[in-house]
Amino acid sequence: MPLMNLQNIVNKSTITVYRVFAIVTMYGVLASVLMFALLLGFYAVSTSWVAPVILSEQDTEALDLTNKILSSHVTLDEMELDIVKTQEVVAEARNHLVALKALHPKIEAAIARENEHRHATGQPLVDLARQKDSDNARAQDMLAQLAEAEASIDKDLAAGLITKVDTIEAKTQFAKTRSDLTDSKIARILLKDSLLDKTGSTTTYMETLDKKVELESEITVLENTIQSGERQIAAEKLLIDQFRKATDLAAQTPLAIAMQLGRANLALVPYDNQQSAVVGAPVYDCYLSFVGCRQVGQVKAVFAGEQHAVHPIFRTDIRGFLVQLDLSNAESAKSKTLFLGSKPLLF
Amino acid sequence: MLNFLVFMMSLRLLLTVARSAWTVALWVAHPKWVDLEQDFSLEPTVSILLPCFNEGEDVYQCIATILECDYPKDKFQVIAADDFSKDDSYEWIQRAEADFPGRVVARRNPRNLGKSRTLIGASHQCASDIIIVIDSDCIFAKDTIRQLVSCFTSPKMGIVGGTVGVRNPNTNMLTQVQTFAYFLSFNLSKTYENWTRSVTCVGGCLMAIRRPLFEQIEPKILARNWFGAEVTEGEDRFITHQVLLLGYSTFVNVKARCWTTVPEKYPPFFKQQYRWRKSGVRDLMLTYKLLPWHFGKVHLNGIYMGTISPLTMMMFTIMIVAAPFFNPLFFINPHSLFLPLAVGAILHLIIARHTPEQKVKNPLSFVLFGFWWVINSFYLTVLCLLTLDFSDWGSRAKSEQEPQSAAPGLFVSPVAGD
Repeated sequence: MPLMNLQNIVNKSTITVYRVFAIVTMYGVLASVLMFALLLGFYAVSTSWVAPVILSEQDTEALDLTNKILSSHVTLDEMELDIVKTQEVVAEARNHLVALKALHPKIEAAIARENEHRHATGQPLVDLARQKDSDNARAQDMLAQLAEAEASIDKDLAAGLITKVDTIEAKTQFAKTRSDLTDSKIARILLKDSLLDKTGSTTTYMETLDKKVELESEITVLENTIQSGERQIAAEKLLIDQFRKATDLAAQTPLAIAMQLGRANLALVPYDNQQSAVVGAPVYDCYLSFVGCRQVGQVKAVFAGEQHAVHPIFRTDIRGFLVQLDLSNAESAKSKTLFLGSKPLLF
Repeated sequence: MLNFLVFMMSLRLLLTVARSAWTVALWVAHPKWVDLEQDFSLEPTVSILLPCFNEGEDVYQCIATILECDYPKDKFQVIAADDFSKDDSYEWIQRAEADFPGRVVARRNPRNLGKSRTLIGASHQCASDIIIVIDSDCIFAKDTIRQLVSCFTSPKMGIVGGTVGVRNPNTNMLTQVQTFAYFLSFNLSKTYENWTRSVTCVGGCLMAIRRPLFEQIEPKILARNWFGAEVTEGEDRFITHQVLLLGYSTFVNVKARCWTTVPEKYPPFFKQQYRWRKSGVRDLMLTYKLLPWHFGKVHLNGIYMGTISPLTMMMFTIMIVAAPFFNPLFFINPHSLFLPLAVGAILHLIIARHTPEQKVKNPLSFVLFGFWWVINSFYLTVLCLLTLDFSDWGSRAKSEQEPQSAAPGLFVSPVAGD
């Protein structure tokens, strides 16, 4: 019987404890479910919440941006150096071009003079050559007659009609005449060379023309070099401008601010809530999600770039933009959500 | 934590898919494994126990249809026991007793005692070979009794159940959803357990049990308590479990059919589901408490169905609590809706073909089943775990019901028919 009583006491005590636990738990579960539903409902209709984001210079993205900015600076320096080098090349080309262009008329004049001279002496020389040919032909005919005369001299000597001295003198004269004819033929051949020089395109003349072409080609190359150099300089200057603009823009991004300040308190504003995001708008942090709120700062800057993030409550993908927060309480940056403009529930 | 939840969810999904696949395989390739050899020449004496509480006129219709069964009239009787209803249920029982003289015994408890005690009280009025327990809001096919008793061909067959259909499938979306649920529960799920003759819960709507077995289990039914607080609901699952523990087989004959009127409003539906879920929770605890005694007595498939299967379902409670923390919109995302829609579409076709009288006009209502399943898995389970010291008639209970005594006596004063 005492055992039964003890059992009853244990049972009653257990049931009592169980019931207390059950009631507390049940109300806890109910409260949790209601709170959860309320939470979902609130964030479904609220248009002032933002999701805080803390950016630090040690963030991977910030480090990446640092690397990119440094790379950009190096590239800028290299491009500026390239421009200087190209400008030097262009200047040198210009000087050379001036010199060559000065030389070009001189060559033209020399060739003209030479052509004029050739023109002036060429035709008379042709006429003289023709005359010379005629003279040589006549001399040749006369030499043939001299051969008969020479044979008659020997006969005259043998017949004693003339003296030996006369014979020698006559033969000497004959030899001299032949020699003159030979000289005349040689002169004619040499005259032919001179005629070729004066009237044909000789290698010397061609070399002179080649020099002229070379000069003109060099002038063209230099002009091209100058033009391309100038184009390169212009393109690089444009690129440098673009790089500078990009670098300036990058310097105004939240990441760059984080790099400059060491840490930046930002917040992602969903597009649905964008009307709340204005510079100077007060920022509120709440003790219980959206209840018990106090002002903790204001919006310092609004960034235009689109950002993607995960909804802090619904865990869905959201699109929006970042704002920079000037927070009096740095810990608020660690809250799940903050509110812009006014307290979400007026308390 | 997340990995654990994913593991549990995957495990549950895997087990469900495997079980469903095996069920289909049994249907298609091995229908004989599922079927039981029946002997329609068997004609044991049968007592039909009809516990009733606040059923009104339905109880009369129930008695009328069960009496129309094609079973020798001299071999079965109806014992209708009213648990001190607040409405005119007892008057209808008395009218049935008058309209069907000698075939209906009317009883009334002097005060509300709960279904278990009402049932046991009614069983004391019979001396038949077989007891058939039915629900007072059911109507029956003419061959229901014969289909049930024909399955007792083996002395080891302890309990035979039947399928329960829905009388009001298209009253509203709620009844449509329940039609799906009933079909899933009785026509599909039981097939898997029938295979090994180890059905872990034969529904109290239509349950045939050998009377000696019932009497053997009776003290245990009465002794059910939660630290001294009497347990009165879930007697069908408890009886089935005890029969299995005694080494008997349990089976659901899908050809033994009855139809019930399912709740058309949410409060009674909620109470019904709460009662069923609590019965499941209690049975799970009992299973683990008596686990060593299961081996050698209960088929391994039955042990699996009583231990692992409900446990993984219980784990869903944790998952449902945790899921919103990882994805608050988990339960309304398209993937979560697609599964019920797909299952609903398939079920709709099967139901329309096999039980055309229960064809659901709006198959899309199965989506609601998905939402209810979430509520059922989470809130009801938690509620059950926190109210194990409390029992009532569930969907039939009314607010003005008298409080139960801490230690009620069994003794039921038969008002009539003794």
